[in-house]
Amino acid sequence: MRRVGLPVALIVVLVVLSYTLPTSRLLVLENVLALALFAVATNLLLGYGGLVSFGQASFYGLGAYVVAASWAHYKTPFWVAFILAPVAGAVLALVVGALALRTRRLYFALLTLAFSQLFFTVAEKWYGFTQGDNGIFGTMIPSKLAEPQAGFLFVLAVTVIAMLILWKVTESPFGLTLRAIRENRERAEALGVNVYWHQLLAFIISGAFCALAGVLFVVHDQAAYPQLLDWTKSGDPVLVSVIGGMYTFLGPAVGALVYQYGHDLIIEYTTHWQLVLGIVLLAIVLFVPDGLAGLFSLAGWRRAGARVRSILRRQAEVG
Amino acid sequence: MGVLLETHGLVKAFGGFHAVDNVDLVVNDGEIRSVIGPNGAGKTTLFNVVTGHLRPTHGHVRFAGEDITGKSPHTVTRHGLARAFQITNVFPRMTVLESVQCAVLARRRRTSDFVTWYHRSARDAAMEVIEAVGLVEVAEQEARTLSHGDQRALEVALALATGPRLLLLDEPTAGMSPWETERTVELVRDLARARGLTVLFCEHDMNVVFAISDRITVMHQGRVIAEGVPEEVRQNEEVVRVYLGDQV
Repeated sequence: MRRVGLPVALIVVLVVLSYTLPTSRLLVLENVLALALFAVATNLLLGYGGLVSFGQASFYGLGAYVVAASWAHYKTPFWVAFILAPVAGAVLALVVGALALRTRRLYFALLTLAFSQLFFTVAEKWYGFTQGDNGIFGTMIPSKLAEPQAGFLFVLAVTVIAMLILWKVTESPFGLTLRAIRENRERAEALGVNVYWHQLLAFIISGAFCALAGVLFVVHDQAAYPQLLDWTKSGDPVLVSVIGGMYTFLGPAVGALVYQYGHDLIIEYTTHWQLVLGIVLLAIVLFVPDGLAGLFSLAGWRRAGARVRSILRRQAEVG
Repeated sequence: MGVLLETHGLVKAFGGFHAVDNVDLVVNDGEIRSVIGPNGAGKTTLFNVVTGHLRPTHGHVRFAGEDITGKSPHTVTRHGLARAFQITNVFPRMTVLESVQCAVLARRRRTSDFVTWYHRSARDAAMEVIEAVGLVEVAEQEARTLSHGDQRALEVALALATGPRLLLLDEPTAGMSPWETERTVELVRDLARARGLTVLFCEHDMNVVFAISDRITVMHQGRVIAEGVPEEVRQNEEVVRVYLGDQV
């Protein structure tokens, strides 16, 4: 009951906020939702699969471009593109994953990075289709969704449904097996698990939902441009997952919230937002490796306290 | 009793060094077979070749009448040959129950099912295995919090849960207390007698070897130098010279 109660309460709060918040603030929250879905989808690989992919922006950007380019060239209705985008994400993930998953750890991370740079270049140079650096702008979403509140509620609904599906995946035999592979790849293999196939499946699912997050971005911005596929964009969901906690399902969503509002708060005082981000990341990796979501329980605070003490003690011994 | 596992002219060479050198091993259905020999005799390499973790340089491995030479570890496991590892090799952040459930699901080929709930699937089958190895009390604990002996028991449970016909144990009592060793001996005996499992294991504790083996294979420098029932092996002069010495 506790596991269901909190998310339901959160959804209710968000719906209420959509009626009360001014438009500018509502749009920020919409951004958080899209980033949260992007991060939770990426975390299927990162936290559950133990696979560090630095190329998830490829799928995010693809999702955005499917909507924008199909609108610009074929006048495809938004709803068709909305269905098409995750399918395209899955297909691209199948191709990238099939190759990248032949390698492990650092090489896997580098290959996903290389692929994402490749797609970034395509988006930038294929001017005829993507309009290059300028990007594609325009009224590519139904006018109803262009209204702030309706748009927000749509993004909220898609995010909630997508997360429910992803949660179901993590709680299934497949999700359990994915964790086993993360914990000990060789042992899982010895149990008769086809590691490659399971990782590929996770990569495809993640790719599809990252593309869906890209569609949500379009609902928010009504645009698609090459920066969406940039490798720094791939870094976002990874950072957010680490901040929020990659071993809990909603940890990355918490991270997305903190990241967005932290960013907005800090740039009011200083332009050195990256510096603060670096310090926060450092503190989290050192003191709360389970992420901020780990601090939702008393045991999490105790563990963090014990870590701080042990690090201080070691420092005292060294000094 | 038929032949369950058979290797024919098995060679594994690393460069010029023959770690396993022309080994013909025949393990009958239902027997408890131990492989002994000094460190570096090639026991673990032999196991690695049999389970597909290493590809043999020459020779064949047959299991239950099928050629499994050079097949991948997960395919070999699906043929019914499961392995418990020498180094404790479990899933640290997963509970005992979750780990064994995963093994049961692997046996049922249901690991890529993402429609049902894992905590309902395979629960009963997993608990039965957990009970057999005596881990019921710690079933909800994460593997990383278990004692060494319990982790080894989990190791055996994982292998068992894949529903094998042959259980391959790599030094099952290494690093165990006398009490834990005794428990393991009882367990292996019970598995072979009550469940009709065939057990192939290597071990340095000669008390364990002579207590439970039906037959013993002795390896030295990659070759099999003797094979027989415990009494024959104990009296074999070459075995005494290269390995047993004054151990028995």
